[in-house]
Amino acid sequence: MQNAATPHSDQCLKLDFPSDNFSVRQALGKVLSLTLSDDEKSVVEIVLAEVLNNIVEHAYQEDPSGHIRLSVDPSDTGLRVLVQDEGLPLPADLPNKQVDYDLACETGDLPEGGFGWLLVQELTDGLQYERRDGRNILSFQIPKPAEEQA
Amino acid sequence: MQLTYQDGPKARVITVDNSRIDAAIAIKFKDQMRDMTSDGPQRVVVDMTKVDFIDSSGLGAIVAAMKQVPDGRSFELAALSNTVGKVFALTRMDSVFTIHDNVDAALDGGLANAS
Repeated sequence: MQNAATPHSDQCLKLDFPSDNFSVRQALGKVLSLTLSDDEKSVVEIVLAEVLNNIVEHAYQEDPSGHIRLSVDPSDTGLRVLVQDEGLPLPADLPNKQVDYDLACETGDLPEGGFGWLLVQELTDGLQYERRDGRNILSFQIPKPAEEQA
Repeated sequence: MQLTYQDGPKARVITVDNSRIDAAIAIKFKDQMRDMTSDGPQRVVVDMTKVDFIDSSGLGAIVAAMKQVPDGRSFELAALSNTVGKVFALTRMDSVFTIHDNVDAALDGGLANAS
């Protein structure tokens, strides 16, 4: 049903798609077709690309036969997002891990990874993770930029 | 993955023709960058005008590309989009790279003028 009409800002988007890169791109495209400001779109794209890529790569280990359920619910204060999958659980320490690295090092020692979860933490509020009945349930809010709040 | 370059006397401008640098092209990006930064002018300015989006893998590939540049050469970035700039700022990588508003600003108006 998500293709039926032009999405409005008061519309909740619910998607169910397989765990392959192409389907993830398509799902991301549908979320970005919601009525959002450019600033919101850029944050939503960064966060969802990281979250969904993590599911494909780590939870399902690149097995495209898995399922991902995504719901995006726009509100006055931002977007409420719920992502569920049936893949491997997140590492126990990841959800609340303080990602940090030292950038005052030699160029050759700069980190080349570890950025993904940091971006998710920085750009979301109320990030919560639950493992229930063999499912990963990740929920968070993407707040509206302050100047756009009603 | 599409990179092209143009040389002036002091600087090489490498243009990224992809709209995204993500996991799908991260390794190719790093490999092509190694070829393009191993010789040529001392300054390398990467024109990111066409890149709308990078993810964490893309950022990792850009950092890796900078790390593999031989000593004595620069690796600078120009024309980051709003989204790309955000990724650099949130990961504090904007403090590690030299970032120019656009290629003209990086080159004092043009390749011939760059010092």
